[in-house]
Amino acid sequence: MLINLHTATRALRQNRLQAALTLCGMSIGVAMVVIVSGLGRGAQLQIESQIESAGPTLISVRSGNFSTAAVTGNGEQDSSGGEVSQGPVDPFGLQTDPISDAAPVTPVTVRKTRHRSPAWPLTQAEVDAIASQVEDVRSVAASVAGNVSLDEQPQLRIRVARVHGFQTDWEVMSGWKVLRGRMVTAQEHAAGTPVMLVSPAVAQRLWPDQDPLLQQLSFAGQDVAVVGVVDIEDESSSIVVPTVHVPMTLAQQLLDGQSFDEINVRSRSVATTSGVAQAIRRVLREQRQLADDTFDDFRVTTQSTSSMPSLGTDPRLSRAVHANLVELEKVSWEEMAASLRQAGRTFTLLLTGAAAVSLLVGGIGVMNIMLVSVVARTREIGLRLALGARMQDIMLQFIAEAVTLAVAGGCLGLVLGYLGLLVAQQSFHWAAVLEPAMVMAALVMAMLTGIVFGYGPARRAARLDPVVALKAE
Amino acid sequence: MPVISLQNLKKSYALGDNTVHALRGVSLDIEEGEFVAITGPSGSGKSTMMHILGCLDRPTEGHYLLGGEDVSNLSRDALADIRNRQIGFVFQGFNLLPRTTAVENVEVPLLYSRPLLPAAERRQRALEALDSLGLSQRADHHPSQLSGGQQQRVAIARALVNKPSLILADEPTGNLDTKTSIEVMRLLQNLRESLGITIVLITHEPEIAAYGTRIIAVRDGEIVSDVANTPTPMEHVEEDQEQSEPALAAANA
Repeated sequence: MLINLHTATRALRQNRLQAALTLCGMSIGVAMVVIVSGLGRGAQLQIESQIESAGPTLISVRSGNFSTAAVTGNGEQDSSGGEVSQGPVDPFGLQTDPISDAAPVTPVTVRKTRHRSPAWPLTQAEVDAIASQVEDVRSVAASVAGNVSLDEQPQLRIRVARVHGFQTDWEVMSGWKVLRGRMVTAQEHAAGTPVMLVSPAVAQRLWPDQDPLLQQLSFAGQDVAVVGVVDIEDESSSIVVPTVHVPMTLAQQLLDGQSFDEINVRSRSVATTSGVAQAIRRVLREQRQLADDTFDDFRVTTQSTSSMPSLGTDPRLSRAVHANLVELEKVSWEEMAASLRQAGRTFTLLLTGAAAVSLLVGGIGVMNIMLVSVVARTREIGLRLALGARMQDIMLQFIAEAVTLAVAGGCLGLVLGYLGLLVAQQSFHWAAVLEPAMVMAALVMAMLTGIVFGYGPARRAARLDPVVALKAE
Repeated sequence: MPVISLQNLKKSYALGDNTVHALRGVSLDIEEGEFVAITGPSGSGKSTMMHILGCLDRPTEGHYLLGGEDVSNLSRDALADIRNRQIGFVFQGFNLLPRTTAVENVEVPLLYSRPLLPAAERRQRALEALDSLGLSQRADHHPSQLSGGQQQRVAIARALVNKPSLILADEPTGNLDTKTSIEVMRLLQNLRESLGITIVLITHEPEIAAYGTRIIAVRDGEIVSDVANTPTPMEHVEEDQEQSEPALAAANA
């Protein structure tokens, strides 16, 4: 094979201009393949991320359980306040439910159970358990908050600040956006570096008309510097006690405690959210060794359940809707996701057609130069046959030449395609992704093109009559 | 047992509406170590004979036994293997690959040998073959950098590299001047003497045919004469080669 490669490169060097032109043709084909797959993959990822970001994937875990009666998506008893009911729930108060055949409501039976008191706080062990034992979890992060006295600072009129400690990824899950400065880095999270983030409102209140990035607060002799101003939706910062956001390790040190208030979990997709919520509940019950007849001493809430009204509704109706809502929501999301994906596929298919055509044109170029090469080198072929080359030897030699040409064009095409993707990304703001597997696929395509279009000319060469070929000029 | 045995060999082609009878029943035995010169005017069928002897073509009728094996009806690939292992070709136009060094040219038959020798061994054998023809200094030269005589010697080295039992030379001196022709002929004579290789030479020049031990004349597809010959003596070959060697080197320098 190596010999063939050697012969091939030499033969191509003898025909520089033609080889170069063919190379260009081939490279355009491969560049198209790269661009198409890059754009297709980019669009696909964008669709996926849209699907994900649109759907409720956030799950919140809090310590303690003071909620009213509720049931999980499976109709399992979740955490009841002691209310006991028997038999199936009839949301319309009718003995005969007219729609129960079409949409059966899960029957719920609530057993009498007991609370554990007081509730256990959330700990790092539970964060780790969720991260390691629950599938389809994208990220887990805990937070804690508490009031901490400030050291006297002449220009400040406040004495207490609410310190909110958060772990890596919390800011992503909560959708924080940096307005000025920067986020807390992973290293700072790990080390508990004394840095903090504030919202614009808090910054304005603490340091009116000053640059917040130059400010710091001092807690028990420790100076904590502001590194970023972030846009935080629904921040519960009161006028009297402003909230500052610091790395978890630092907050635990300032608050002198190891426990968390809340753990946020982001599931991998909408479709898995309810499953993840149930799995979290199971893992936490195991972790806390809760007996079967004991209530959860924590609460697992998804965005869909938390958005349900809980007051002013017939508790039985509320429970029934809760029991089915998650499933309903999941189905409609999945449908939307499917239609979006279908649109993405159609887009990719169209582009693939264009790529296939340009690859075909490149392949025809390869075939052309190979046919020319076979004619020009008839005498050489005759000589090789006379010296004992079998048909397959000649076939291999010419296919190797075609493949060398096609792959060289492919490499050039990769570069062109990469540049094309960059242009698409920078100038048109199209989503484009280039993965190693796609690069490999493009090269394999180039190689296959070489084999397919080199086959004909190679066969023609191999079938030459040695006597006739030797006489050729 | 003869190296070559032709038994009533016939070859005809269809040329348009006519059938051309290139060989009309040739029978011939060639023993090991013979230096046979086949002569005849163009169109006499000597080239067709060469092609069949060289296993490049198959007879229409009759049998061709090469080393006792009937090769008249073998497949293309089987004939390719026989050419590779048993026959060394020397062509009129040298037929060296351009832009390819002498040693690489000599290696070509080894690329098609089965089993394939390792690259180092192929190179080694090619260099030995070049060395035996006094060309080791020119191993890395391209054909365009070599004189006609040197090119033909590279071609002979290529013919010898697979240690064949038969060398077929088709007008080997056709493109060479008289002096170089004599040189090449003496080289072939020398090969026969020292290695005992059977040589079949096709030529239309009587002076060249005179180097053979046996001269066969072909005309109209038939053998018209087959006589033993006392080859042109080799006595002054050595001195002449010694003289020509520096002369060629100087010409190339």
